[in-house]
Amino acid sequence: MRYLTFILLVACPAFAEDDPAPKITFDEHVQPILRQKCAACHNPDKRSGDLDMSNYTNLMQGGGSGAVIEPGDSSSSYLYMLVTHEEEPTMPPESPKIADDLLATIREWIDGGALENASSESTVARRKKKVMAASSIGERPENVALPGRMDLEPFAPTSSRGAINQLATSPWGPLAAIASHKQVLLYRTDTTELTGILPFPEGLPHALRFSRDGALLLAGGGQGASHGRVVVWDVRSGERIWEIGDELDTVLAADVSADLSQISLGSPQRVVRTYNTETGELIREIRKHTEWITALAYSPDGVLLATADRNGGLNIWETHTGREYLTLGGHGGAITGLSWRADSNVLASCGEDGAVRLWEMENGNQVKTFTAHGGGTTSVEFTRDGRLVSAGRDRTVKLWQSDGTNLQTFEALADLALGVTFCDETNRVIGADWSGEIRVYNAVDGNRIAQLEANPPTLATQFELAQAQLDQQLVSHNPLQTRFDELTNQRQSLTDNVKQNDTTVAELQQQIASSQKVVNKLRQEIDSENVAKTEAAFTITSIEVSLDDLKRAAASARAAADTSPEDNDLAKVVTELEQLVQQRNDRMEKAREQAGQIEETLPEKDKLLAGAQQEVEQRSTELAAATARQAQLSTELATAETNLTELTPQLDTSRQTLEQLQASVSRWQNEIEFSRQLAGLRQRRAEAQQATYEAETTLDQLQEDAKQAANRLDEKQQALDDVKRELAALQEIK
Amino acid sequence: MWGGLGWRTPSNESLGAEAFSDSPGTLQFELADEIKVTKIKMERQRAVHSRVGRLFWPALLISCLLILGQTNSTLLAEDAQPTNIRVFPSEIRLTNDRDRQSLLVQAVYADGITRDVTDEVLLVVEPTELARREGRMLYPAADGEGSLQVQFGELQETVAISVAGSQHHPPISFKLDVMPVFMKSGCNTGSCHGASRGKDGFRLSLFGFDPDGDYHRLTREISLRRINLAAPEESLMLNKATGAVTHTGGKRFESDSEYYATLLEWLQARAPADEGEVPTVTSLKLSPPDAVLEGEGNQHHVTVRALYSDGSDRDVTSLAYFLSNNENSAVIDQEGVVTAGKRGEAFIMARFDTHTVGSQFIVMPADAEFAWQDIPENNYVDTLLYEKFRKLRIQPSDVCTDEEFLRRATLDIAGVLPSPEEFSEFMQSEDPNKRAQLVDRLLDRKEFVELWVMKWAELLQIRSSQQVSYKSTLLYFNWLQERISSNVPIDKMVHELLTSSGGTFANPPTNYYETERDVLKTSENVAQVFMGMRIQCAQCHNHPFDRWTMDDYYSFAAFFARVGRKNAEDPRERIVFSQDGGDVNHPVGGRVMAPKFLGGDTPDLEGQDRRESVASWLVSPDNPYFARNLANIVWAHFFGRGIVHEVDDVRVSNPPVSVELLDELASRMISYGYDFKQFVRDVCNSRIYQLSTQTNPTNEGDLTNFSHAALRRIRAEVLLDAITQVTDTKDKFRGLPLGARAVQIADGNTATYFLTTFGRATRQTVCSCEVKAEPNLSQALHLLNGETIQQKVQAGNLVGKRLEEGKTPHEILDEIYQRCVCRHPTEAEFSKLDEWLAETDDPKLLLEDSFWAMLNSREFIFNH
Repeated sequence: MRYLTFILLVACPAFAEDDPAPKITFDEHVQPILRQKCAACHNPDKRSGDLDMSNYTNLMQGGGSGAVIEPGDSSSSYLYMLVTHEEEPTMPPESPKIADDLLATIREWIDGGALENASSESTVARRKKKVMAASSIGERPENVALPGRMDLEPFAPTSSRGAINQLATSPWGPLAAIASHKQVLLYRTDTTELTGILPFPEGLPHALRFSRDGALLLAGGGQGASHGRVVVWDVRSGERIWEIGDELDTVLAADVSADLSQISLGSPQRVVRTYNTETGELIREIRKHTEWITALAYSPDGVLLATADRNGGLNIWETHTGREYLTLGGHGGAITGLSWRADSNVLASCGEDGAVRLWEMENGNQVKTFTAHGGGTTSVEFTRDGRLVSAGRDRTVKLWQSDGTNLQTFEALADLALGVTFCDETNRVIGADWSGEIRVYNAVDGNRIAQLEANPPTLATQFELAQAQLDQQLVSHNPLQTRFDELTNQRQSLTDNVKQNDTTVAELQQQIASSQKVVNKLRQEIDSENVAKTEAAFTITSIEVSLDDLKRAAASARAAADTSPEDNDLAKVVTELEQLVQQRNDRMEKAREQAGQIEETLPEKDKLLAGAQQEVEQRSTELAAATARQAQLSTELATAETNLTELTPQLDTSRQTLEQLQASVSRWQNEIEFSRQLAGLRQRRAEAQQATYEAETTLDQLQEDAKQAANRLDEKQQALDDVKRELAALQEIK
Repeated sequence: MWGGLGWRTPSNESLGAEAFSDSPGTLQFELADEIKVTKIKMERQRAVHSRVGRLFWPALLISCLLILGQTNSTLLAEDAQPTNIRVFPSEIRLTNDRDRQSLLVQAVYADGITRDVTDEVLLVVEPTELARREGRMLYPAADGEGSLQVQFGELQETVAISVAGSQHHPPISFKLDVMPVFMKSGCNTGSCHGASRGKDGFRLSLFGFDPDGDYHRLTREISLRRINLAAPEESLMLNKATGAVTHTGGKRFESDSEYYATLLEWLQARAPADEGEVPTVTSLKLSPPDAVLEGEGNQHHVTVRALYSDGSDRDVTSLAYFLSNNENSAVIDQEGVVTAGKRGEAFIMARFDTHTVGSQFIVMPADAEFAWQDIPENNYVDTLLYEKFRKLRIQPSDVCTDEEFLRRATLDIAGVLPSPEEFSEFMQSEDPNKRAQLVDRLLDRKEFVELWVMKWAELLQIRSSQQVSYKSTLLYFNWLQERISSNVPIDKMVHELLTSSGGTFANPPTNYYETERDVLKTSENVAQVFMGMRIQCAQCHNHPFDRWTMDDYYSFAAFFARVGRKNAEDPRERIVFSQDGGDVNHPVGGRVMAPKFLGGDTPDLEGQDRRESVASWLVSPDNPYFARNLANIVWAHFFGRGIVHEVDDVRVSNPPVSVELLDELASRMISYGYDFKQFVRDVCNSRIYQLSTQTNPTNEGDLTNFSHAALRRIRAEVLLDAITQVTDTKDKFRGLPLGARAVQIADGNTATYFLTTFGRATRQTVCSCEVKAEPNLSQALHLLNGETIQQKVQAGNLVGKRLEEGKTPHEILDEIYQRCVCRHPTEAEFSKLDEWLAETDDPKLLLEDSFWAMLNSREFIFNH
């Protein structure tokens, strides 16, 4: 920020006149405060806590508990933590806190490099401790352990869900474990599906950890003020492999060492007990804590064990010797969570004082402290790449850079956020709260992806539920289908009707055409007959007009010829004339006949014509009706089509749902069947084991009997030998 | 001889142990000096005789009567008709399906005896469908109005019933339903989870002063431990409470109990917090208000009803916490059933929420034959206490002898012993009013004022310290002395004291604010000294046995939040002034508290000195505690025991012996204008004050009702002065001339070994317990072996002087007796002296031994 200011000042000559941001220095600003508030005890004469705060040199030298000022980092400066009452013993003792503005001055002074005077140069850049990036993330196993097919029958189904505070993710697989009432739920983090349920009849698990290779899952818990133990399952098979410990209260914290050789656990009994996993024997007890053990964790490299208590006590031990390595004082309230960075160099702790503290393991210094959640931080976890996730009483789940930069604050939960875990495989964060809500968030964009169930119902319930849903779906689906069928039928019939109508129209048109043809022909015929009639009449008339003259000429000629028979020419003319007359007469007669004929047929024809015309008209009317119907049918058909188009996606969706539900129903049926078979198999195995055990016992017994019999035989033999010897001796004497 | 006389008879055991038992009556008989042996024997015989003489015949008579009486009383019990019956509650309102009301019917008989007849009465609900009855309990059945008719013999009472919401099932409320279970089951007491650091990791607020905090701690402090939402019945809080898992506090209730059901239902509803305004309890009523039980083992139920701010009421008998202040006479179990024990009275209390209420239960033996014998009443004190005696069937003792009265009154009023001259004068006077005259004379003596200056100096903690210089102390003491000797009324004096401003030299009463600079402690002291109330409890939690809540406490403290202090020129002086700023914040939530009088109003104090306001209220008649407290303090001085005992422990659960008497005394105190002398006159002239320590069969068990005089060890200063007086010696105390009396010591810091041993107040606190009057072994050893007595007997050389004057041993012994125990020696005592005189050749040593023995006698160091 100061650099920025500097750049701005250089860049803007207009502002260059103004004073630069004043340097906060010891001599000018801080010493007066310390003189007034602290020097009564921390002076060269009294040196309370071996600390003299009256001058810069002595202050920077620190006191009995080491340096009290960490230039550049107020949150790592012991003095600042004490005067702000973030750590005990609060300073000044038995007095109210120093005024906020004075504290701000001290903070700015430290953060500004704890300069002695205006001419001092900051050494922060050189000295500032950094949270170095993680150097290793461990080794990915060749075969990542994921659960095989497991019984999904809940071990302890409850109608109401309890608070969830223990979540864990497999270091190498898309798998999350969730501690629920008397069982541990395994969820796939990629599909968010329930993939297994591990029974924990001991009670409520209060500690949940995957082994470093992800092959084992550990849960510690029990019943408050009654009993507690740790259970370890094989993640692949879900079989219990170890049961460790016998506390008189519930186990609150537990972990398994990296080499799986030992398990440590802690409870309200205030003792950390370490057990050998192979023999189940107690290796050692740590009795240093004065309050409930609330958290413990082995370092991923297996070298160290961190244990924490309800009083803020935090200790680091050597895993294999149990020797104390470090005592890390700092938390002002109960410690609620511990998490090691993958390279084992940094430990994160969180507590009810709200702080997340990062400790380096060389000297046990606090390399970073930040208040993650006001009111208390309930859970913290390192990601594989050295980021952190935390949950707290402010109902939120947060993702942090290792330097305390907040990367993501996820959508708040319904109640106190109690547990958080980060799935490195899917880059997802899972958070859970007091009300039992479990949410999966995308760490990249912060969106909520899914919600996990804290109390999955029984398979029977799932089945019934699916069945009920199916039935429910059917209730809405069936009418849809019916309607769809109706509409389809309707469309079919409409289409048929249209087709039929079209045929009718065509037929009608044809009929009309043919009738029209008849009409036309008749009209033609009538017309031609009328022409013929007219012609005939004309012929007749024209013949009649000339015929008499001709007859008279023929008669005259005849007469002439008769008179002049020899006149051949004449005779010929006479003949010709007569012939002509004949011809004409014939023609007239013929015409007359023809006319007569026409007269006779014409009415007939007219009648035919009228009939044909009527026919045409009737057909035309019919055609009009048919055409009208055609239009109507088209509309109806279009409506039907529209309806169908509309209904189809609905139906498709419904059908899809239906299919899913059907699948679901069959899935649960399947699961039930699987569960039943599994139970049967388990039963059989148990019986077999029992039988084996009994057989072994019997065998042992028999062997024992045989041995005894042999012994008795030996004894008898011995006795016999003795008797014989005696006898021999007696006989000898005799 | 010396050894034989002194050492064989150490009275340390009896002084240390028996005297502690405060047993009345027989002090004289048990003086263990050998000188007294004969006397003791004689006295014993006399006592036996007198007892027989007085009681034998009546006893015979009574036993004869008893045979008749028993038959009679049985007959009477069966036949006797009560004069009336009382039905509790007086109206029944059932408002939801959880609601119910327990009934109580009490029959009152003519002789005052009461009997719980609930199980014997005929109860009829009209209309019948309204409510269902199971035993003593009424449950709602259908909505409507109606009545409950109660019939017992020929007596009949009717109580109205209204039922509404009989179908309404309200959800369990954390504050209204769950919190009372913790209280009733004792979860949040100081010895359990109510301790400031909780118990076994779990803390509840003490007596539930912080329900929101309790809700948080129970549900969310350690999520998943105390409650289990998934399986409510497996919640640790239930498992612990029912003893299903190990619980340091053991089993608190059964899993089939109502308490369990309440908690479970709440958990099943997912342990919800209360939303919105939750009604608060405005008052609590315990029924019956009083009862007189006859016969050991007789039982009587009680019912408790709470009224809420929303106008609703509720039968909280099952949720109230019951206790008795005298389990010897009446015990109450947590179901609310009182069982009579030995004769006596007990205050039965019920606590619910922040309220404590009580009822008076008197227990009489079944076969008690009692006839009140009329005795004179000197004044109202007698009248009021006789009423109580009649109720308790107690006949007070006879009046004490003149010798006893002279010694008693002189010691009590003036803090000195009567001189032989005064003794002779008083004994010879034939005036029937000589006792009253004596009181008047004594009240006019300066020693009376000195005694009360000392008492006030104790209450005001006049004591030099790092904060208060010796000079301030002296000025302060002088101021007090001046005020009391000039008879300034106490109310004026207290007002001046509390409102004082200025330099601690210039205006000495300002030292009051220097002695205690803490705002809270100042307000506590004001309450304790001037009102007799210990409100300290309410600093951290609501007072468990009184009405005071944290709100009351901090509101009252706010009056003293604006006292400013600065240095004066003289480094030993400080200046006290009223400043404009300064407030008191409530520790739960940090609210600024407006000044509010204890049990009174919230005055408008804009621009006013808050101290002026509180001082005016304190001494005004509006404040019911001030005058009562003063009256009680004075009373306690004269009787060794307050009407409310301890005098600075006024609370609901510590009722006065007689409310009427205390009220009357208080109103007299006010009407006399806080004139102490007039008031003391009333007290000392009463017959009650003049009663003998000798008991009779009816009052021998009574230790509280003033039916006989109590034996009181003389307090340290007065005792030392008395020893000095009778041995004719002088003492020297810091800042006082030679021969001054211990009573006159100004500074609480000044003390001698004698004064410390005998429990002089160090004035480091305002507690009445500062003055220790309990005898103990070191006192006895100091008297026997310590230098005080032996030295003083030698130094005063009384015996020597008298022998020189030619007095006979008899005369000298007589004077010793008069000086020390205000009487003549008995014949036996004389003859014992003669016996020893015959054996010795050193009468001086013998007489000095006698003197020494007398000073070691209990008759001397006790006021009787």
